[in-house]
Amino acid sequence: MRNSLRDLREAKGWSQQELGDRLKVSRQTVIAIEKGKYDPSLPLAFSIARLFSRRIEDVFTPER
Amino acid sequence: MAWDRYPEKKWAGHPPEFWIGMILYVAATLLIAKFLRSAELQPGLRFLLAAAPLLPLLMMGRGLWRMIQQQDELYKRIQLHALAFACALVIVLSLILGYMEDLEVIPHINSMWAGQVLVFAWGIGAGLLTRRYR
Repeated sequence: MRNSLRDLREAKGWSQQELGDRLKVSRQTVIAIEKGKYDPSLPLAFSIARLFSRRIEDVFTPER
Repeated sequence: MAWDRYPEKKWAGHPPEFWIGMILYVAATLLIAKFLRSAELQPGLRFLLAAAPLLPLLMMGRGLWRMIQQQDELYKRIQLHALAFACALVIVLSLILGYMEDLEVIPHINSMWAGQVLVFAWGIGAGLLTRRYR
């Protein structure tokens, strides 16, 4: 799964730790998602989309 | 408290009851073993005393459970995968070693090894998996 989390986070000027605190996850989880090493659960993916006021498919796209 | 936060270091989040349980377990096993080897007691009382280290073990288990409950979904996934790896290793080892022991190819081994291997493999597995997600 590809995602635009890093771009969205940097546009807000947030650090990975700050984003993690807002999502109630660890910094390592943010890093793993940004690097595409970990696909978040559906509830977390929705939380991410909601935090950036985007649709979930605007943040996460399946790799082809 | 440190263990109430999402841990950056995977082993930094053990709650106090885990460490207290571990200290009590080690102390209880050593002291009870020393006492039972020298004292003459009724079999029922011996059994109860020998089983007493179960209480601090349960305390450690509760501490681990609380730690995992506090973790986020990635850490829970890491713990689950590491535990599955450790259980699989213990199952394979217990089957083959038990078979070899039954055939008297190897000498009798104290079954405490199973718990020690499980904890060790769980820790190694969690460490390796944590690196994988960096």
